[in-house]
Amino acid sequence: MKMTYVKRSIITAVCIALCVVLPMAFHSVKNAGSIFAPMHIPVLLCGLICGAPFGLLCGIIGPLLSSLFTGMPPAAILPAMMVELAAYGLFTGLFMQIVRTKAVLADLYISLVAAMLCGRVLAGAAKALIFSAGKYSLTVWATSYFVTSLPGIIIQLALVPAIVFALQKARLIPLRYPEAICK
Amino acid sequence: MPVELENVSYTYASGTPYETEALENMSLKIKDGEFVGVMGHTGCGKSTMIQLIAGLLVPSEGKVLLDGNDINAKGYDRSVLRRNVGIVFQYPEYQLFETTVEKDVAFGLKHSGLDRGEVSERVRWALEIMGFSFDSIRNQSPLSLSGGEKRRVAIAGVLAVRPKIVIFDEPIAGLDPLGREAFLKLISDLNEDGTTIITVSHNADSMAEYAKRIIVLDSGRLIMDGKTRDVFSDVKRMEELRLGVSQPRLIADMLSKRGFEMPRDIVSCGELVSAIKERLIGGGCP
Amino acid sequence: MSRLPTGQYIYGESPIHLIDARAKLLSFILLIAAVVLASSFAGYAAVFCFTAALLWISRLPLGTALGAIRRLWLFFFVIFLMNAFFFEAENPIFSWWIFRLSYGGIAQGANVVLRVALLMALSSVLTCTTTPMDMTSALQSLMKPLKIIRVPVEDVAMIISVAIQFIPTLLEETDMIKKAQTARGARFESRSLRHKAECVIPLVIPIFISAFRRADELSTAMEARGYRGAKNRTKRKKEPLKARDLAALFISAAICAVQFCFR
Repeated sequence: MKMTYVKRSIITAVCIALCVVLPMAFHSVKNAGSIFAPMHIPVLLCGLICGAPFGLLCGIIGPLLSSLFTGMPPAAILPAMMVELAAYGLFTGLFMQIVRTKAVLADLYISLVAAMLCGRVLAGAAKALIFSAGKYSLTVWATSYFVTSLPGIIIQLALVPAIVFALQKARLIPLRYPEAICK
Repeated sequence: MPVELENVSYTYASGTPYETEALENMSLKIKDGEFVGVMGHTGCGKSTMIQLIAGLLVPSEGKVLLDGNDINAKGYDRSVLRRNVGIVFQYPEYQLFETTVEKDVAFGLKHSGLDRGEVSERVRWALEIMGFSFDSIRNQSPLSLSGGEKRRVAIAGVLAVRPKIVIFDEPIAGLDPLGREAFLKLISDLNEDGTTIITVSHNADSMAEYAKRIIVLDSGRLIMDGKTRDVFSDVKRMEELRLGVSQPRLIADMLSKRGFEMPRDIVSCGELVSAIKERLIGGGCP
Repeated sequence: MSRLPTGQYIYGESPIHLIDARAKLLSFILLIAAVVLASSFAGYAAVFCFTAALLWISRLPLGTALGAIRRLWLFFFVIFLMNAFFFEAENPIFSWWIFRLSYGGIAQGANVVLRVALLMALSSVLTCTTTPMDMTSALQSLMKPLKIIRVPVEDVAMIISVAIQFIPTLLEETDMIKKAQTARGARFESRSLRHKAECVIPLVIPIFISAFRRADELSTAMEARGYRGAKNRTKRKKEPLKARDLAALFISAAICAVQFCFR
């Protein structure tokens, strides 16, 4: 199986669709949406699987379409969310390309953690610039990014690699180190 | 454990411009050990009906009673419902997610309070009933199995809970004729062991072979309900509804029209063959 | 049956509803610029009156259109207080520990709150009067200039259309998976955080597998038919902008220009 340009494009399209669908699926499960941020997952996966440009696209278009079709996120926080998610998609893709430890799980975790950090820094910076009214904002937003979203971070770190492995087992995406299996 | 619908109505998207009534004032009682076939066209309300019975939808009006208790009443212990009513959707293989087959089949037993040995026993039983060798399949990933195997594992996951009532939604769609036979045999074995079976199907032939009672729905209403032979003897009405009746029933009718007198209650293949045999021997075949 | 969600869109036939989505989107961008640039009383007044006029002309039910602003009143209040008390002004009216209430701060707080509220009202007018479908096709045509920086605009447009087509299918499938797992004993309705977390994997993994399977089928079919990129596809011809669309653009540009006049 090869990840062709067309295949990457269509997987990206599906991930964008999931950015709209997943938050709706968890909408009825009380508080789940705010706890584990379902829209992050397709974006992170798209970056990991399809690469940086596709991940970037997914991170920009996903929240935009979701906002258009479901009204979530509301327009007021949409720009900051687009910056954050675009950074996730971009950096997971970039780090997946750079990091090659010969162990898939290690690659995944390094890329995910690095991308989550970069995304939060970028989104924080963007927010500080948009709400540039005073010095307080940066601290407020920085703590909110790491403290209140902690359960979400943990769930994402557990879930995203699990999904990657499940997709590999279902032979829907190629193995990262096929030679390792053959031995 | 009888299940009962009491004047149940269900409206989709109520309060929006897309409001549609999927089920209208339906009353129905299914007793222990029945094998009920549900027939009707797409959009007739049959999947709404089975989802109401399984407690996955809440009726807009009326009650769904399981063993006499309203399953949507406040304070009703839903785990009783989950333990006793299993539902196999049209593509059950899509619900697989665990890392091994054993874990996936055991998912439904997580909150059952059974100890590990019992859980493992149940999983073995369910997988073996579905035609697997437990020891060779238990550690495989359910996701890398073939399509047919996936479906069987998923069904094992529903059966492992040992529900008293099992609902199947188009269970044989997409199976080859051999797979169909094997599968229907399995369902009827379960039924013989006392499990109530409710199955939705378009396939009049397989319904004629296995179901003891047929329910026909049309635009959200229950329009026919009776023993399989009685429902299928009304050939004209079934044709009007574009549902048709079983082939053996049609053949018997054709033979009758040609002067080869046949009983009017033939629905299954076996009945047709033995009736013909009887006629030929009794009537003195040349 | 699942259908495409319609988002905020409220059906109507007002002049605002009828403006071409491309013109509406561009006007929206101009008006946002006006809000961001506004720094004088006259400038604010112009944008404020214009936004109010838009709401009136569009005949939207105000409760729905401005619902988001009403729901976020606490957020606005906190922003206002923070600005009012932490603004570093020369002569505070009142100061205690780290709190310094000042006129400058109050003005700054009101400024920020008004700005955000205006932005929200404007985006409400846009999303309530334009269907999501029109909006995405407008976005696709407004992306064209990105070609200059070598963004494969046609491919992006194709990806967006495919994504939209997938939404109803995936919604329906998600609903089915959720029901199947509920019947197997997943406790989506439970209040406990642990039960909720336990539900995530049985729901999300099947959803992704089913979505990727569909992606796999579609991309294989596309490649089998020799699809190599969206560049050579025939495109539907876009309608040209009408007089009212140009008028909308012109007025928005004027409101934006006003901000430069009163600085």
